[in-house]
Amino acid sequence: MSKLKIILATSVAAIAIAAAAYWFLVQQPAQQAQVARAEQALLKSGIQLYTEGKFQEALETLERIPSSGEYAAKARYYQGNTHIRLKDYQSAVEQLEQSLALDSDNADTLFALGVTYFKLGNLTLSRGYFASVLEFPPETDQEMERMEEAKGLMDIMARLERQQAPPATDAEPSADPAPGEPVDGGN
Amino acid sequence: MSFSLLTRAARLLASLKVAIPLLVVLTVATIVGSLFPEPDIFRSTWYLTLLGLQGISLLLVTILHIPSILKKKGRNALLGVITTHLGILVLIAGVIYGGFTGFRHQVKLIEGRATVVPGLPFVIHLDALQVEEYRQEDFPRMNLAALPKKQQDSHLTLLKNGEPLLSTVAAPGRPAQYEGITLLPSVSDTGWTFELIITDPIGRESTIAVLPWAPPMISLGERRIVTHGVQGAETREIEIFSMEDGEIVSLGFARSDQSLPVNGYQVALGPVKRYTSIQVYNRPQGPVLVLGSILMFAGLVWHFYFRHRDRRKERRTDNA
Repeated sequence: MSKLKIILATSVAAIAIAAAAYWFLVQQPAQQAQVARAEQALLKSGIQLYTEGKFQEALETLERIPSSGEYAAKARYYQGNTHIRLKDYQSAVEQLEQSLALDSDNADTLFALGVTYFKLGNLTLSRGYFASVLEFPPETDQEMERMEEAKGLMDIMARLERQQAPPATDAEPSADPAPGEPVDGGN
Repeated sequence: MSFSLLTRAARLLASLKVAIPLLVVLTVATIVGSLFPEPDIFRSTWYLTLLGLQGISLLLVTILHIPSILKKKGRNALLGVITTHLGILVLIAGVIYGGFTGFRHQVKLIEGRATVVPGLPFVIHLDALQVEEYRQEDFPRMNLAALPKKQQDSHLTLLKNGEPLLSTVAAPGRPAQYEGITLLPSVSDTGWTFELIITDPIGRESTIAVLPWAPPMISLGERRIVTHGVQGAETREIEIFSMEDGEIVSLGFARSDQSLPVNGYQVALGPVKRYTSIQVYNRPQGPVLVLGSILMFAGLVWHFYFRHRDRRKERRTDNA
């Protein structure tokens, strides 16, 4: 192979590597940052519309934020809350579940799901979501308030459950131990 | 500059001075982690980083020793060594992959309740828990408390968006599976949870869930009470305790039909429900670990079979 060919091949390889490096290290992050800024602006605008009570417009704005983006969890959370305000609880469940799939440790979303299932009359699931909210130790006044609210709603549901369920089935577990045997809380 | 740093780091990792202490630290950590399951170190970043460094070290050591193995022991031995080491590297990669992507949760499920585990793509509802104990006459000389239950079937429904995805029965040794996620009830870890119905002096009612694994401290005016377990089979009752001058004092028993007065409050027993403990886990690394083990085994077999065959050939040639 002549020297010229080697120089040519090396140059082509170097240019290709430099182009790839430029794309991955400079161009792509810049594009991603631009997309993130646009999504952030959409989220801000969506939240603003939601607070102003323009729910349909808020939904249209928030829907434009793709589920793969940085702000997707928050967008789906606000979409869920907007559906709650519009009393479309089934859609609220879908959006909030999507939000939870993207950000599993979000007590706000768990709480909103508890409220939605409560509105749908599914007390079992509602209690389950509120119970999971109690797993998050409150750090702010707002979180403390949310926890108290969850406890209050769980209390109401426990009372409703007692009133609805026939006492015999509720008080008696499925398999009783032999008479006289202790039924302790442990193993 | 950065290239020379990289070369120095690679040389350091390829040296036995680093590889052996790394192996010792990893071995000790693995033994400690196996003996004490809490906290789970096998998913910690430092453990996985150490494992990754061990993998890189092993890779570099193998590459550096290829020429000498080829020269001293021949091609077959080299192939065996490479396959065995590749197997170990695949195993390490599998453990790291599983450490970052897999999960394991220990969850308590209560009969008739839905349990939300953040991160799971479904909610678990325990429809019913069927438990049957062995009787003393089945094993006259055995301590029944030490035996697993005769039957411990958890009837589960997995829900997504409020809709049932799957209804299944799981028991210890008979896990339920959904989309790579395993639900395995723990052996004998079952019991009872209950609610306390507390009526304050002006007649307001509140409900407090008593979970045996986290019994609550309940304030009734200035008095703080605790309770932990249900007793009695036919007339279930709970004993209420109070802390007085550092001593635990029994205040009496409360039942569903007979409340216990404490400080002007009335304490009654609410619904009693069974609970079971269940492990929910995902091990996406399973197939990778199987592949790594097969490679390692094949490499060892190859190495020893061909190495001995080559030696026998050499001896025969020498004798001839």
